[in-house]
Amino acid sequence: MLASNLFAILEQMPKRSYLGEMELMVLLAVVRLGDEAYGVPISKELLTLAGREVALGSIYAALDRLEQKNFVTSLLGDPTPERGGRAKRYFRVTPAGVRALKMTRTALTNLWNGIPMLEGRRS
Amino acid sequence: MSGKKCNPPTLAIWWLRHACPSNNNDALTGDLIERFGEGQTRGWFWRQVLIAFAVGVRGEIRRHWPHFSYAIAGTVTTCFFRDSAALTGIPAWLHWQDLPWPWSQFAAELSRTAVLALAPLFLLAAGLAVERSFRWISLLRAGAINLTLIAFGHYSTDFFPWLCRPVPGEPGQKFLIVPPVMQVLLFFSAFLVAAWLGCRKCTMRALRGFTFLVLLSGVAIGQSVAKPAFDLAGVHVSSRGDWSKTPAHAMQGGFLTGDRYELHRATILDMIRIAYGVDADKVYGGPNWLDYDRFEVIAKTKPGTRPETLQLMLQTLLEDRFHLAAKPGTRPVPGYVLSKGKPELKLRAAAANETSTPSGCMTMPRIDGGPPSPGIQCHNATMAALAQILRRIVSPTGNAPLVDSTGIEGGWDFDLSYERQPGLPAVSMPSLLDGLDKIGLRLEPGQIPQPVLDIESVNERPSPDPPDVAARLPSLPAPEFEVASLKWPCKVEDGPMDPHFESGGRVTATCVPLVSLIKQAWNVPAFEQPVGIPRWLVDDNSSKYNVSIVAKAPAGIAPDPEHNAMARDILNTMLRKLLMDRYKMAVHYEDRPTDTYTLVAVKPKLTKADPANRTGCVRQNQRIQGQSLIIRLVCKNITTAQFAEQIQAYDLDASYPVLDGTAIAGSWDFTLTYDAYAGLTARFPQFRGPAPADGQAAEPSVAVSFAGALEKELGLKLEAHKRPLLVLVIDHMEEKPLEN
Repeated sequence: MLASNLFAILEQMPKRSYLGEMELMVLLAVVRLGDEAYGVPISKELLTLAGREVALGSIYAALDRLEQKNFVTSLLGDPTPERGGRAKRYFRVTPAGVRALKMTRTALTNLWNGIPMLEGRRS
Repeated sequence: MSGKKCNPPTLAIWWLRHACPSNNNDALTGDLIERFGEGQTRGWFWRQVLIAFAVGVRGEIRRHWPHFSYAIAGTVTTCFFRDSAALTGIPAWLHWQDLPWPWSQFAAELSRTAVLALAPLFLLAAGLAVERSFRWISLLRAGAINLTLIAFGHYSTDFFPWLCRPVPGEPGQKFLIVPPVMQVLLFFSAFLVAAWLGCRKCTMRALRGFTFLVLLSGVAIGQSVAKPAFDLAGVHVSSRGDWSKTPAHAMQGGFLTGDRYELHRATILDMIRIAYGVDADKVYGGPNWLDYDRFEVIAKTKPGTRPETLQLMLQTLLEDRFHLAAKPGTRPVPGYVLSKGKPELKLRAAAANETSTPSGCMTMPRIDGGPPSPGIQCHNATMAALAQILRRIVSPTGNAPLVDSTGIEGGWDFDLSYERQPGLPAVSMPSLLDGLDKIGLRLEPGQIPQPVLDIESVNERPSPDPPDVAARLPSLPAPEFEVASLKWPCKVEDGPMDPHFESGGRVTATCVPLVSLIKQAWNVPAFEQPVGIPRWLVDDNSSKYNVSIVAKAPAGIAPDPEHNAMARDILNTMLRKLLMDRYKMAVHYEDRPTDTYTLVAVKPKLTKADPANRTGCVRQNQRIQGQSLIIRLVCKNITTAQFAEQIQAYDLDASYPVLDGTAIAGSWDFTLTYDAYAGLTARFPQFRGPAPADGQAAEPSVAVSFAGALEKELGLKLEAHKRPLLVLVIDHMEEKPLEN
């Protein structure tokens, strides 16, 4: 009885659906790259725009988490000789991913708005 | 760039494809090759692969954290608490001896590990609940797989004997060649695999895999767990001449020395007692010779075999060679019941924070040189603890059970005063019953259901030995001490303490009279002297020739201290060699006219025996009364010849075997009550003890000597006469032992 109550309570607990920093950056890169979003361009985008040299393994780990949260979908391209016969895995943002991005932007903007002095210094 | 440097590292690609826990390995490999083609170095490639591996492992741990927590907790408990004292009683608590095989073996060998392995399942359950993937079937599967894997690992040493190697210098011990770190990793892997397989959704593939694993383990364990048996065993009837002369410590052996397990002069009842771990009085039925005929067992097995396994091996030997059929059961046996009395309970609830005194009951120490243990003191004691200590008092042999039926829970502080009366049955100790009554408790005799063993059938003679037993189990040379130090002279106030085994094969004796050592070494009867003792030793009344010994038995012959009584033959053999060497002794045996007895009939008053009774005599109600040791000897289904053989065990006055001259045929039941000290005090007045104080009459002895009781109660008589018997003769002996 106690066990079943406990499990019912746990069942009602919300799953974690917010974006971490790495997930946010990778998701933005996917949005920016559109149909060309796969591992190599995403890593270059992060290096160029965010100044972060992120290992490809870490990018795929973040993409895995985003896919589990249903924020991105993926599909395999055709194998090419310059990739040793391996296919590219293309990622595309989902409507849920777009919503998550908007919510995160709103939250961050609200938080930044609450810190005028810091904004002043930055400017 | 050389051709090799133009290509990405093959090993790194293989590692990435096969060892990295990720679903994107193929795409990731393509990405890395693409970047490498753009000019990245092989070092960069390796770094990316290692990071991908670390990230993958971290992701797996994060995804399956309940499984990893379970594996860590299980490994810690199993590896580090396996030998915990709190768990040692689990096999006994399960009454493993009473279970049918193979459950008895599993209970004896695996119960502790199983408890430790199953305990962390609670952690797995909690983790799965938090992850919202809890299912009872997952827990059951994980537990079952875990037990299967652990059983497989446990019996793998039997399956792969090369995994164990002998300990250098300790042939009786073996160690696992798998390094401890690897053992920990194997345990961790077993727990992880069990959790992973157990918690997977039950696809047909997983089900097939699990079934295959169980079948494989079952076959492997089944082959390995065939009921344990000695590699080779020789069994034969003991020579009557050997054992009828040594009734006081009839059975010898029952422990492993190197790769040999030996029992000497053991009755079938002795063997059953050892093999099934039951008290002799809990063995019912069987033929009347069960505790009379004696056997020699010399068997071979792996050095370091566990005692529980040795018990199972002895069971197998009894079943195979004697065709023993025994059935565990339950019978009510006479015992005691501790219950609430009529008056109100007068126990103080134990103080919760008082920790200076250990919890439990203890007999109170001797006070001012007065009588020992005048009472019991209990602190924060449960009724179960009181029952335990009461059992030791009311049944010194520990055979009579005592159960707590008070229904009182919790810890209590109380003192229980009583006057100790040695040899008196507990229910005849008014002061103990009064003491219990004063605190509101009652102790009464009752019939307590106890586990017993019923003997259905057993053969009187063992089946023949395998043909090569004599060649493969040759007689071993007489053992001798590896190293020994004799201290002479010694401080009398330190001793004497007879020679005995201590742990690790160390043997010590403290300031023992030299004559006593000689008598022990050559099994000279207690109240006889060897012939030819040198004059300097006979005339010594000053303990000048007492000697202390510190010695080490050879590796492999190191019985535990608890086996001292069963290892007297081995010890005496080594003592003989030591004394012969150090004192340059020369001895021989020769026939000399010796004072002996013959049992003759005067006016026999014997009752025809019930043939169903087990042949033998049992001492009952042995107690000290004044300067007498009163013994009630109950003999059943015994011939006068068999009784005559045993007299020297019961009558201290008879040093040598008694001949039967009664010419009475048939078996008889009879009882004899006598004072075991009466004959001795007549021969040796010093045994009478101090004379009573002036004006105080000596306490009269109410009992007669063994010989007197024999004549009065049975109409039999012991006739003294001289007859030639082999006795020890000392030809030569140095006064001073050789230097160490």
